Amino acid sequence: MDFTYKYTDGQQSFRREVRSWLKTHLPQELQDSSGQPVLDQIGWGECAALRKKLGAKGWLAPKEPMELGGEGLDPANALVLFEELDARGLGWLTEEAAGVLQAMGRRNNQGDRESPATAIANGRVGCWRSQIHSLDDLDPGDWGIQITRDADDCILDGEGIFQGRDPAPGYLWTLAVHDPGGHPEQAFSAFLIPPNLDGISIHPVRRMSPYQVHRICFDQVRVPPHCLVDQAKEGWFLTQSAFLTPPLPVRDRPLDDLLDYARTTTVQGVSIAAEPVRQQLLMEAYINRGIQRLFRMRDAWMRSTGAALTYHAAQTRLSEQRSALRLSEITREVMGVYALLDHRDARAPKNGSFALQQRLALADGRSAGSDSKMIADALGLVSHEPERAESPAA
Amino acid sequence: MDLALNEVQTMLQNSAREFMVAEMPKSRVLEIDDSPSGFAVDLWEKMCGIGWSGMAVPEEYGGSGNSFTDLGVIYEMMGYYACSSPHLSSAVLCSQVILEAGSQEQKQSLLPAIASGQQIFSLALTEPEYGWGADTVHLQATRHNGSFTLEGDKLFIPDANVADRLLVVARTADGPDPEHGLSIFIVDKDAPGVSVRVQTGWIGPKVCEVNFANVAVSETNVLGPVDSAWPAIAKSLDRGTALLCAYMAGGTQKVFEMARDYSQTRIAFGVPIGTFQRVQDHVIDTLNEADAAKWSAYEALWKLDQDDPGASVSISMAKAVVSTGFPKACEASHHVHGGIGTDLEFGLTQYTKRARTLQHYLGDAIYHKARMAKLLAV
Repeated sequence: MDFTYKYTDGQQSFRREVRSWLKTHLPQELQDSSGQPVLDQIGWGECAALRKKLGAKGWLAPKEPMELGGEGLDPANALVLFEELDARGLGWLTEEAAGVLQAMGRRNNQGDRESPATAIANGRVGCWRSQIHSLDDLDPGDWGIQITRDADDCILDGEGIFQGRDPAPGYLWTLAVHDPGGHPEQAFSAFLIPPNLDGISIHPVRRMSPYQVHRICFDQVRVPPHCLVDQAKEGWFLTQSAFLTPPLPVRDRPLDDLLDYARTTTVQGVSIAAEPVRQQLLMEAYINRGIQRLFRMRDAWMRSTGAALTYHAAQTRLSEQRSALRLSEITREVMGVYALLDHRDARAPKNGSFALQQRLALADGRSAGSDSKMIADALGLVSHEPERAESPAA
Repeated sequence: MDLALNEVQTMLQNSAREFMVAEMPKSRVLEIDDSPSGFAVDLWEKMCGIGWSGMAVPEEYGGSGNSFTDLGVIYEMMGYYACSSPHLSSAVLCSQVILEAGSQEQKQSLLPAIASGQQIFSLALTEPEYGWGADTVHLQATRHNGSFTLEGDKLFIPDANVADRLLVVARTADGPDPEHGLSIFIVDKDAPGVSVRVQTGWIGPKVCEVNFANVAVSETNVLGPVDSAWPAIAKSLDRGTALLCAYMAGGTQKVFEMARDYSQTRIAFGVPIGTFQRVQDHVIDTLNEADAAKWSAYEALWKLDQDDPGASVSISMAKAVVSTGFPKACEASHHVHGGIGTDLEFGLTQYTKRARTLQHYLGDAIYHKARMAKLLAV
């Protein structure tokens, strides 16, 4: 057995290159990671400029080949890049772009500078996408956007929730359903459409999440054939491969910050971390993080050996979600009401990062039930389900 | 990163499984648990016969010098089959205390007997003020004319009733640092003034009260240096704790499998109960506890083998995980099983009993979380 993740010399060298580049190109505010959302620190204008710089370097879609706007990195170096970006609060930039590009399939990208994929890979435009937390969300009977055909065009009707941080995206990546009674694997098509088509209206949604989501209504929106991503009825597979990949292993900044806060904050001259009840809570959070790390490591190891993950990825997600909520609770118990102050308040510890964690933990948006169901299915505990059409594979 | 067992460990796992399937059907577990001593001499002889009692002992002292991960594989299997034996007391804790504290002469005279299983040792550490730190040891050893006299009580001592000899931790000096002033004494269980009583209760592996009434111990039976035994004890406790975690992880895995299997076959309202979401949640909880227990235990064992400076933190983390997780998994499994789970012959209660006993043994979650905080300087 070997529980160490060892970086190769090549990875270490690449890490130095990334750090050097980031030191040159990043605004001063982002040089030391405070945990505060980037958008709160530098605003969207500077963020968009940064996205372009990263895109020009090929780091928005690092695993894509260079001719398609990426840098052709192998997964190990792509992970190093993600770790460095994420440590500076920028991981989402590459996650957003790479996810959409992967969900477009290679056939849509001809290396043409004007193609949507190249524009996204280069960071010249942003893209919002349908919010999907798990494959369970893809219930054809319950999906809000439907397709009808009109000659070669498709007509989209209905509404859905979209996520993305660019306030003026160049594209919307959306799923729409052909056959509400059909099997999910054959019921969906994916589209990449400009948001200014006739019949599209966008409404911001106020949610707990600090990141903006939007409700978009489609009223008889005529979508030309070139907006179809890959082939018709490939939406389920594109979603599965692009947006439901397991979370990347990243540093758990909120817990580090909490431990630091507890060590350095004193009440009547004594560190609050020395108080037995708080100490137990802090160690519980530390243990929870340790378990997440081990589960992620296990999953990565299984993937590397070609072993089939059955319940594992869903277990890791479920466990992470529960741990995040528990950390949120422990943070409030350890810090008291200070845990609720955000970055706008001068008395907020760690620039309000604890308040952010409180919101993120609750606003994750994923239903724990869907991960539990995946685990139960993998264990052979078949659930009661409403009848639906047979799987084409059956 | 490679989380696979190596060839030797895979072989050990297979042979341990075969051994347990043959020797530890659930009726046998119940029989041993119900016996007054909680000890099956024939089982112990077979375990020693296949070399398990010498695995933690270096070859020069008659053992096979296996890694702790090797031994962890066996412990996981012992836990899975709820096997009771004095292995942890004698072949791990006491062998390691002797290895760490003993003189060369003491190692040569004591370890071969432990490695062969010819003698059983038990570590007498805990007292009425139950705890696993040096500060809870109060039993006094008074020096007088070249020998020591032990006076006081030890409580919750596993396997003292079946041991040939006891390693008694006693206080030989007082001072502000509780880790200073502790010494280890080798005491024959049948020595004058020693009395052993098996404690009663809903307890898995048997534990004993051991009373020392004016027990004389010669200086030659002091293990290692006087007054400074704690570092050796602490190291041995770490090793034993990591292995206990593997045992408890095996038990947790078993109660998960019992819950899963039962939920697939028990029919209620015309369908297997595993189709009910609430039941599924219980099964998933047991699975989560089992996986957390397994991987935290193996990481701790691996770090122990690597002599990693973070090993003690990982060991305490693993023990906190299993001390919480094994009992919780048992409770969830009882929820799945309902009435049948409380039937002693069904097999689940043997695990529940062990979970609740071992939760405390070598330190509970509260103790280990406090220890982690100290080690991490939180």
